[in-house]
Amino acid sequence: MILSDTHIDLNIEKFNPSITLHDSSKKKDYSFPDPNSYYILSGAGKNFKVMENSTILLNLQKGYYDNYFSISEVNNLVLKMSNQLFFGSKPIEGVAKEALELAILKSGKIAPTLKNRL
Amino acid sequence: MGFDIDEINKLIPPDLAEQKKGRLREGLRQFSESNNSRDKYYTDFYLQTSFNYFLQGDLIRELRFPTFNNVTGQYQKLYFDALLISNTCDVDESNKNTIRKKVVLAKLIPLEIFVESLKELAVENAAEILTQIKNQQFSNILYLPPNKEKNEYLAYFDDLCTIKKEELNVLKEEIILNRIESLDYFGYYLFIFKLSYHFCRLPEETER
Repeated sequence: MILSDTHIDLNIEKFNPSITLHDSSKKKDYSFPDPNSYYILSGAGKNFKVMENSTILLNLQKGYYDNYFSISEVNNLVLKMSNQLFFGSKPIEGVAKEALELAILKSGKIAPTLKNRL
Repeated sequence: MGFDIDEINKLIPPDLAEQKKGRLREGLRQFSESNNSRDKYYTDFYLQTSFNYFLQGDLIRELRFPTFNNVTGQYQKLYFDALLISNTCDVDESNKNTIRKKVVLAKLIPLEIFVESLKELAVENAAEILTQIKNQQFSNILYLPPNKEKNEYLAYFDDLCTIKKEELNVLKEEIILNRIESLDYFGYYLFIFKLSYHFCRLPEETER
């Protein structure tokens, strides 16, 4: 989903103050708001419309685009270690997977035996 | 690919007791390539103490999963024991989010039912498959060793679902009954590394 300010020229690379688009180029001449797939969470939102479905990360506390995700040294180490430990392992397949699927069917309960279950 | 002890040290909390640090290192070292074919020892896999809230990696009893019925062509609500995939702080009800978070769960399949299924399908290399499972050689399955109730489980990372955070947290009222086990450091790190490997391995084996 890409939100655009209705009063701002999307051909401008970056603009202030509310939203910075990852890719600010205008892709199409039309828009198609989809009320089920986006959130307008602040007063600033009234000037925005949905341009297309894509991905944009909003910092909901500050009300503007901010990249939540970054690879820190720790993240990098976790990925490196996981590769060291499980390199070469493959998903279960063939008859083993068939047996797993059968086991899943057998292990599901139609009714819970414990309380507070929906 | 070897096991770099210096790198695992960077990931261990510095204030962790030396005994736990040692068990964590040795537990993980078993899965390095040179030890790959040996049987694994899963001592100290589960926590001996019990927290009064849910932790990432907890084994929880009887949670609902939408399960597709191939005969009726409809989804059916079935209850499975489950592994809590979501991060501990994402599950914590005191962590207020603008958008309500959901809790991600993986089905737990009792190993004995899987063994029955292998027999039922007359799988010839059943013993070899079980060894591979116990040595964590399937990337989308986490083998969970015998717990205090002597039950073993398979957590299936390809069959996940979500429930509302509130729905899980209501089970804190009787958490002793509702939780099967929590993972200790060895179990928790193994879980996180395996989850990371399954979902985050780079590069992809294809061009895009």
